[in-house]
Amino acid sequence: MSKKIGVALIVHGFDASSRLLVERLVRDYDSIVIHVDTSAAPQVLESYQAFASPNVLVINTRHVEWGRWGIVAATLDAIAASLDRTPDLDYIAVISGSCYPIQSASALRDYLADHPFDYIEAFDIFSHRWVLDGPQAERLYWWYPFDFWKHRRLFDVAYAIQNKLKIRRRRPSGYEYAIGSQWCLMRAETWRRVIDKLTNDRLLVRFMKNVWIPDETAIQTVVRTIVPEREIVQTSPALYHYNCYGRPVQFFAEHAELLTQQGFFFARKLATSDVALRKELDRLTENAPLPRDFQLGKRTGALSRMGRPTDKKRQFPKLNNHFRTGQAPSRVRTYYVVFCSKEVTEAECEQWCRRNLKGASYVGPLFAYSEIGAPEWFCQMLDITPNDFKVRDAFPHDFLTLIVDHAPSEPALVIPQDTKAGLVDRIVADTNARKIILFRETKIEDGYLPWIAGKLSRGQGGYELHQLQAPDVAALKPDNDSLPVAQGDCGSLRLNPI
Amino acid sequence: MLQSLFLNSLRKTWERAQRRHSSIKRTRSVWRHTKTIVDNTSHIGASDILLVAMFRDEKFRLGPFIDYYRRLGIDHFIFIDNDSTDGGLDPSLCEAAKDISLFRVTQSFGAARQGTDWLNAFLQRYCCDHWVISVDVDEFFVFPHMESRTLRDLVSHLTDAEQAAVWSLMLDMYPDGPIEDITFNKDTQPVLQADHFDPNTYFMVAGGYQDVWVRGGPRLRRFFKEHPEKAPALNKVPLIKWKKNFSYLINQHVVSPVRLNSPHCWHSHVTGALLHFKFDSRFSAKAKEESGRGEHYQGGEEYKRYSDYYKSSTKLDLMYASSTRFESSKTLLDLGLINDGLWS
Repeated sequence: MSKKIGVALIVHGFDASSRLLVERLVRDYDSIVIHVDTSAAPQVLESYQAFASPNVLVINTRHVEWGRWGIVAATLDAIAASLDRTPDLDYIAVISGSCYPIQSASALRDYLADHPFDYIEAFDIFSHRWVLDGPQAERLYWWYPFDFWKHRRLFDVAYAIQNKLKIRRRRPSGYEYAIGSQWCLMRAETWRRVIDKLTNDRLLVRFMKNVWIPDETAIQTVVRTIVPEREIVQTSPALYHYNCYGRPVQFFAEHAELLTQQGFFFARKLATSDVALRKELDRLTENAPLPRDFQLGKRTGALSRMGRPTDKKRQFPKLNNHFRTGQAPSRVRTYYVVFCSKEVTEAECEQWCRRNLKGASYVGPLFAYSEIGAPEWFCQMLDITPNDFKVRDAFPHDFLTLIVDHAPSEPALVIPQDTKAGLVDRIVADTNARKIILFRETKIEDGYLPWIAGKLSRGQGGYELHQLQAPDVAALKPDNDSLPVAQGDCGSLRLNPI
Repeated sequence: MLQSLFLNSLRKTWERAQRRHSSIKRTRSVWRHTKTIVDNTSHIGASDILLVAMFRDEKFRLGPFIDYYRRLGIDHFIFIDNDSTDGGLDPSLCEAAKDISLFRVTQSFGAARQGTDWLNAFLQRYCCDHWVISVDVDEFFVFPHMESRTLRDLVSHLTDAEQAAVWSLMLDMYPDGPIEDITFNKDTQPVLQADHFDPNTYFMVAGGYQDVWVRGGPRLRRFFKEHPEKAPALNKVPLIKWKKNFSYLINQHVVSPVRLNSPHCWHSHVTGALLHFKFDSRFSAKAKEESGRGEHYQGGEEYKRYSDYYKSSTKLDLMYASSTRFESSKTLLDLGLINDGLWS
């Protein structure tokens, strides 16, 4: 026998998307009770009352304020009204105006026929961290006389004082205090018992009225206490997703497909104005059977990335100044830097690079003293000529980043002897650069080679030494004398310990 | 060490206080030179998103500009007309529209620090506790996912993510061909005529106000290769939840308090772009006029360069090998020129 499902809808405004929601619910479900906030404009109430359907009942009993008891009372009123009107309901779901079905009602009925449980998040408030960013068990400990939004300063002061004084309010005993999302789906029988508890247990009601955000605690606590644990499924039927600040992520038209893949029956929060998303969801899900791989509570796809910090690599503008940030110009790619002494000509250097650095793309002396020695594709890409070295000198980091990011393979840069010292320092600091010193000198005196070797040995990541001819490098020593130097044949190679 | 830290912070606080004080003092003189033409500011609602723009002799831009921003979701426009001689905005039209207020300022543009004082004055008087866009009338604000989401969605996200300002890159837009071939007019959205931009020629240096100065684009490529440090800045902070102690310091490039200037915090923020429509057939005449007037930054040196260019040639073609066509905000998002931060 298929289950009869009612919906309690808690709203405070009316727009085009609310109309779509109510129409969809009327088509799908057996009873809809809408609770409209008493503080909403009279037109809002009228708009909901205009839905001429025998399934819809509009009530208007409570003033609903975020974080206050009103929302729990409104929920209970709506549920009680549903049960009064349609006593043979099997299940009642609680959703808000910014929720929307992401599976068909028939799929939900089938699912409930196989899994006859209560679907509500009711985690132990003291041991299970459910709140992402903010107080959790503290919600029960203290009094909250000031409104969070209107009197934020007073709220914080009251909070701090009670925290300092280590105050603990006395809690009614006999309850397992729980926390979870207020959007739930429970059997009518459970709802009757919850309403009974939350009207007759005066002590509990008085306590809960002064709790911070009781809608995430009151009903959950009662359910956890009165329903055996095996009959509670700790999942909200409504998908919600929080960003890293603990605020709800909104869904937009481009997320329709993503939403239908999730293991939930409703989703929130949909962007209020987004009619297109709701229409798309109607098209995708109305009368659709339950997906074969449906698994309640499953979150898949790009959802996990939403509301989370994006990759820093893609951040723009990013200062490519690793002096300040400690970041390398490119985090993705390594590149070769070949330091050449004066005696090595550019042609020799290029020949050496092409022969020895297999797979690297030769760039040339990008930072040569008074011209840009870059390949043609690079000059074309930036609309520069070799003479525009002033642009390069004003923004050397960006030039380095651009060439490293856009080269077809690992680029090999040549740094001639007359490069500005400041720039050499920056490359030395970069761990992604594989540094090579190329030289020909047979007799090493004080000058460029000991200077650069010393710099590199003090810098990051070590370096390689290559001599083009005449293997007598004994005289080449880093000027701090702390590290041994390569000895031996032509082209011998030694890596510093990293 | 400790002492120097303390003195440093004291000095910074003092500088900040001075900055604020001087900018507030400067706004006072603005009102002496201001004439109210149409005042619809009483229609501004508590949660309205506002726009403040100033213009001079740019009548042809206003139609598409207002159209674009109305569709984006601006609730009220505040226009500052700097002594336009072409008639400017039609007052009767503003009266009827109810969402436009028009003011006329007769102060010199240069004396008002390129209009910064006017901006501050109007922002302080009408825009406190509102989200407000401050742009010139040739700048069109673009944000991530704008095809499917509204400006109101954006500001509600910004409020949620505790982001008080949106950093934006100015993208100089140009047509495929000589700029003399197109003329912006009052009936066409300029993006349909000038739809190309530079995807990669942007260079950054850190500024002194926790900000990032970006230079580049076609203007650096074509006019400032010899003096890249003098190229126009392309960084702006156009969208801010304005508070009474805020003020712009250097046009919309730098704002005080300085924390609003940094594009990102520990994670990526939402950033946008301003499509900047400067290049059409009027450009050479404008360059000549402004270089003579000398009211712009550093006596209009930028405009002198442009007019020098036209001494030797008659056409200006800004296209180059990497020029990319602007299709939608997704083009910029894919290139990484704008970020969607936590708002994916």
